[in-house]
Amino acid sequence: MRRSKAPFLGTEDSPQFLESMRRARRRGLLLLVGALALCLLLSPLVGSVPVPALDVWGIIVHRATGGLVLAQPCPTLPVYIDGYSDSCSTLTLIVWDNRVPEMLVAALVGGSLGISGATMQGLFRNPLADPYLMGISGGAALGAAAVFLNNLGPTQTELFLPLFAFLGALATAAIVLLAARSPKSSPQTLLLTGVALTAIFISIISLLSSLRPNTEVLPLTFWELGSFGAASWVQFQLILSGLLVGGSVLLLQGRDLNLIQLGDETARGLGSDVDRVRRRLLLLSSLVTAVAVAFVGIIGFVGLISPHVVRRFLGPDYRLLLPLSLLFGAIFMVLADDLATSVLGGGGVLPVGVITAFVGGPFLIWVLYRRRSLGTGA
Amino acid sequence: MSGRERTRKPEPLCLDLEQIEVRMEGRQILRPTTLRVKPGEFVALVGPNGAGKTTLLRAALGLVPTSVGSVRIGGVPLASMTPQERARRAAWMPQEEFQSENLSVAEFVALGRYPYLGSYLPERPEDLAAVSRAMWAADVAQFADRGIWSLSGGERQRALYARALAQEAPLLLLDEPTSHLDMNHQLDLLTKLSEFRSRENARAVVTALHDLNLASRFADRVVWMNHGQVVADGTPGGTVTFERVLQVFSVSVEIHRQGPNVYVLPTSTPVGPRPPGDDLVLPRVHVVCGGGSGTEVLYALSEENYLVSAGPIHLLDSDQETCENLGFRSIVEVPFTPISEPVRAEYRAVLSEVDAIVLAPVMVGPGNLANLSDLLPFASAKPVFLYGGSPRGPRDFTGGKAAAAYDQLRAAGGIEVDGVSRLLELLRQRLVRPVGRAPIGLPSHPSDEVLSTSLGGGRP
Repeated sequence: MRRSKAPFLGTEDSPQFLESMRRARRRGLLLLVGALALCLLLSPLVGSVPVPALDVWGIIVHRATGGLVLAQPCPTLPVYIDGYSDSCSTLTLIVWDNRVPEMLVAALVGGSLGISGATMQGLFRNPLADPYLMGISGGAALGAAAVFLNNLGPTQTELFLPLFAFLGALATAAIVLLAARSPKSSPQTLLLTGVALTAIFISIISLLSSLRPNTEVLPLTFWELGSFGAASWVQFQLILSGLLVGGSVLLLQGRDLNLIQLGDETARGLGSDVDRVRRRLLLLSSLVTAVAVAFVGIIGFVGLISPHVVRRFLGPDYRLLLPLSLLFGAIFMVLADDLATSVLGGGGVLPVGVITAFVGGPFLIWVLYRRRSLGTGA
Repeated sequence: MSGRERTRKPEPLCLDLEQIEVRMEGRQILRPTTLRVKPGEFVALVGPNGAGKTTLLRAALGLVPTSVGSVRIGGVPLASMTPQERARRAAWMPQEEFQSENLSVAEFVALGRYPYLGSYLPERPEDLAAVSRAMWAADVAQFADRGIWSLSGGERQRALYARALAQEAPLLLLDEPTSHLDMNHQLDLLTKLSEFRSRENARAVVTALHDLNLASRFADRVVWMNHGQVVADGTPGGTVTFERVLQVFSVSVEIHRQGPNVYVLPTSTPVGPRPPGDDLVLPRVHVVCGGGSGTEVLYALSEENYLVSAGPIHLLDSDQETCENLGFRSIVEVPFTPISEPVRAEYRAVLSEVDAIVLAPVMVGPGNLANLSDLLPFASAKPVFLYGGSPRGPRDFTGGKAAAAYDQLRAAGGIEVDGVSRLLELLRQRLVRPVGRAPIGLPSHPSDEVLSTSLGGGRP
């Protein structure tokens, strides 16, 4: 085996810590991938209209393979009954055009927020960092709301939304970075700056929509608490491309983030161009956040919770923390969305931000009070 | 082009700092400083807190901007290297470090491979081998999977050292690498550092060290810094002197020399830090001794803040060796010869400069009778303490001339003293101003007036 030849384990009679560490990580990774797969399998069953599980999976397999695998998408409907195709296409509409894109968008948004939360906590060395708490989601929402006010056609809207959301997020990130640089800044400064900025952005959005009552601005609760109600396959594609561009580069920055945890001076001493890395990280995490927020509004706390949970169970190595926060964020968001759809019953849908805030608010308080033992002070 | 024609290329310096200067917030932290470190050298930077040692090291790495001057590492200008290239040539071990995440020690040490891997590449077998070697060399392998926060200060310092080693750079720059270590690990680390430097492999070590004893024992070269500049640079044997330690650290010390080794023992309460330009002027005391008669007095004086000289003494006389050990100046004559005219002239010059004179119970013969008679002109001008009584009986080889000279001295104002503690008490009364932040500032040629103002100024 390679193991006996690996110098790290062989030569200096070393304990096999690296191997065991890697095994633990692989286990963590597999666990989360499995959990996400399970969520994706079960989540389409949840909805206001009861659809038999076999039909749900049948429709998914049928549509995903373009009809190659299952010729009859609805196994529970007898084929000989009149109106089979009508009933089945209604079910297909519910499952394939609503539930599946909603679930996938939720997973992508959760993943985006999870990985940007982990990145921001790392680059600011601040366990309170999170795209929502730092106001970056708010900036993105303002940018997106500005697009809605201009009554563009649907295609233009879908293209301009992420762009303007990104600009809004970037501008906010620049303000936050300046606030973090100030010598008087503490971890709480960042948080409070973000909260203040979010409040300002929300009131601007509400002001704009009051000034132009005729335009098709989404209700304030959409921006404040988020919703997957308008999820579509186009949204899925756009958010996916944002995550592929930003997230794939972010996933490679783990060692840089590990270095930043040792302080800028040490990171520089070891050859990292810290300022450049930090700008790049902030740019990419803003991009990933903005694309998500542009379509679903502000959903808080996912970026805060995911890295904390992962860190607690699998350690603080950012090379692992980034992908696992992405996975955890995706799982968390899919579950939160399922809960939001089913908790009211009778077809009522709760904004998904209500669920995340119920979980995230107490969590934030817990982090704030536990922080003293975290030993950070950046 | 001309470089190609040369038959023998000079080896590049491991580190070449050319007139570098560092300013922060308008203040000059490092005055223009030049430092060249050759392959195979082990250089210790010594000096008090705030002397600029850390700044010098950081400037060498480009971690603080230098306003003037140039830095070359291994012959390559710092400005032309990327940070990663620089980190492959020079490793840095900071004194303290802030760690905001509880990485495991193995992950922490493995970050030392960043200069080779950047953020993207996974560790190759040779990287893991380097990490493993570094962890064993720094004795942290047993902590590999423990979180860095769970280590003690000394253990964490060793982990920092392991990370610097994992960089496998030919130049190691360290800032107080032993400050948290126990005695065993201090010696271990410094031994490893001295094994690390190697002329053949063009490797060198530059480290800031507080401990003068460790610096003298392990370093080839000691660079003394004070007030942001280099004040001395040389071998430990040549640069560790009583006066330099007093000047730089404001502490008087005993210095013992054994072969090439130098041992420094602080002896007195510190005088207190001194602002730049206000050089410390300590009262000067001369001891006339020889044949061991002065040993007791010399050791006693070394406990106090005086600049002590002795002589004339013969080379290899036990008192002369005591002076050597304590770092005192001695006026030396060739063994087994009478005191010669040039030595007498030096003696008289010293006598005219010092603030007080102590005559130890020395044996007097024709060869050194002049030592006593030369004191006579000063007996009325400055305190001359006659310690240990008149040279009579077994101490007299001059047939009474020595006793006569002694009586003359007493008549001219010489003060007879019994016992070392009484001598020290009288010296303090006559010479010392309150010790503390106030400058002592005695001129080197005190007039009677100046001296009299200093009288009676005991400790408050």
